[in-house]
Amino acid sequence: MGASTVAGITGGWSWRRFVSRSDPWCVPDIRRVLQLALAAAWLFDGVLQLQPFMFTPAFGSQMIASMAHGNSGVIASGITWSAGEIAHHTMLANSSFAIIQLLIAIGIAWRPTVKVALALSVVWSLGVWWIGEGLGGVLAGTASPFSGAPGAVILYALLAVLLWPSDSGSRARGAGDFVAARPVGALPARLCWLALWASMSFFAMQSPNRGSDDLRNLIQRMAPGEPRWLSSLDLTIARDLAGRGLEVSITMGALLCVIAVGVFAPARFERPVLVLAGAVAALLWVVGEGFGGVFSGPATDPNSGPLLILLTVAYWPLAAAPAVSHGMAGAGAPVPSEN
Amino acid sequence: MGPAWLVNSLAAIMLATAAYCSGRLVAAEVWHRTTHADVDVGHVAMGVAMAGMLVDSLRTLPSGAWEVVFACLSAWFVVQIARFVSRAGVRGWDDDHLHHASHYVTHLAMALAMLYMFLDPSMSRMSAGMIESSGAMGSAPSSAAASGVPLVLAFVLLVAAVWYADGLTRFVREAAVADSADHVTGDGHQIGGRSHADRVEPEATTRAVKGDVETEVVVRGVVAAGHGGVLSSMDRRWLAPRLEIATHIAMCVTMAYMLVLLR
Repeated sequence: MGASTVAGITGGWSWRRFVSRSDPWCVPDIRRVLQLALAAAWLFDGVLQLQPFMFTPAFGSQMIASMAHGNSGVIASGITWSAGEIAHHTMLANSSFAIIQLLIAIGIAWRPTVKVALALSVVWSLGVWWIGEGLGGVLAGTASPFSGAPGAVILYALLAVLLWPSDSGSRARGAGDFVAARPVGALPARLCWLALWASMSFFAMQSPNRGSDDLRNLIQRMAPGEPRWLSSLDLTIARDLAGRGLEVSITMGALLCVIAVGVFAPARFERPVLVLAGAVAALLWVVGEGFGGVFSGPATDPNSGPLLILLTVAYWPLAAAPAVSHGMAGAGAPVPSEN
Repeated sequence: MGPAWLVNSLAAIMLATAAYCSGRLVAAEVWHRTTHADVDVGHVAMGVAMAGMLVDSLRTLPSGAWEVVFACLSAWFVVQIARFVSRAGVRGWDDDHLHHASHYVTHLAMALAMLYMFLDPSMSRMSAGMIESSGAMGSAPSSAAASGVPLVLAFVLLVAAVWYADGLTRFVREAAVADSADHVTGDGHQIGGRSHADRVEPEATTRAVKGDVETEVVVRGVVAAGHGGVLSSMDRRWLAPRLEIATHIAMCVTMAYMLVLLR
């Protein structure tokens, strides 16, 4: 009898029914590290949600309501109604939003509740993708990978699924295995990757983003309020991009397309493609997204850049390793012997 | 209307954390337990200082004093990191099997963050009223925001909070420690009572070093309460490592929130 006794069901109602058995603690493995990185992102979001601006009616009437712009009837009306409710009950609404995000973060970080928290994060992310991000502008035709399309929050949901602590999708851990394949299988995981990066490629090349000065204007708008080093970087890049929007959009679209199909390429091409994906994600985060605007305004998250990098790590081919069959699948490898 | 309730709640949590860490220092002295007194002293200072930053009426030391306190704490943790790394290496464990170098690095980051906040003029004026008015959309960034340092520090602290939270399950409740003691010493040594838990330590430590995961959990649960002597339920509860970790998490999240407001 061990630690599981503590978390076991002792008869009658107990909150412990909703948490996992507490198996022996293990040093975090790569999947657990990625889960913790996801938890850190949620925690950061929760803290950002507690900014004073979010407790003013402007959070609903300006920030949320603006997401309806360009969206069709049902989508837009849901956003508009929610924005009105949030503006009328600002304190209650925003406190709830912040608490939910903090709970998700702590839930993922605390091992017994990781599944509950990941499941909650999927539901919450889908809701926020609609109400808080207007589906990332995907249906409005305004989505651009330089501004975080298809939406940062949908990546939280995708990561929650791909980092689910289960190995049911993976028959054996061998060469070519990757973390994202373990819960859903290699092919579905690769299809998710394809859908994500191919959609980004499409958004990069759609008409509202390929005007000669569209990209320059987008980057230039990020500069005000940013730290000097970042705003000067943005302004320099914006100046260099003047009149070259079409070429840059096509180049970026082609790069994203290569990344999208790269995970289906032979193994020797996979790592270079993933390195390219990480580099493009970092570029988009710094230049296009301005670190999600966290330095300059009332941002609610650091945008999609860091999540794309996390996703890339989740697809990194792992070295062949013996299977570890702990109850808390994926929680971590056993404490290594020091002998 | 601003989040005065939030600011007041955080101040209350910081004061409670400071009070608990003061209690840890007293308890360790009274029950002759070895704890990280420097960390507890740091938490007391940070808790009281942050409460004063959040709520004007809770200010204690005069201007300039806190800067000296946190500069000294920062220097202390730098020395501790150097001593630890020279003794146990970057990846090694402390004598109590509870912490490694990251523990001191985190506290160095916390001390530096406190120092940064006190040195920044906009933070030194922080109060609930200021927080309420500082969130206007599109307001000009403070001098601190111009560097981006507060957000970097905030993110480091949040990562530390998550890492600590993951470590919570390294420890088991005292009942489970007693149960597991049977398991650990099952080879001819049936020890089940909590009053004998200290007898588990030498053998369990040996097994833990060899990579016995479950034993390591037990060792940490037992050793956490301090070195030597028979463990009582009182000191085990008061000095429980999970409570210590909870104080780290509370400190890190509150400090990160204040740093985010600074940007």
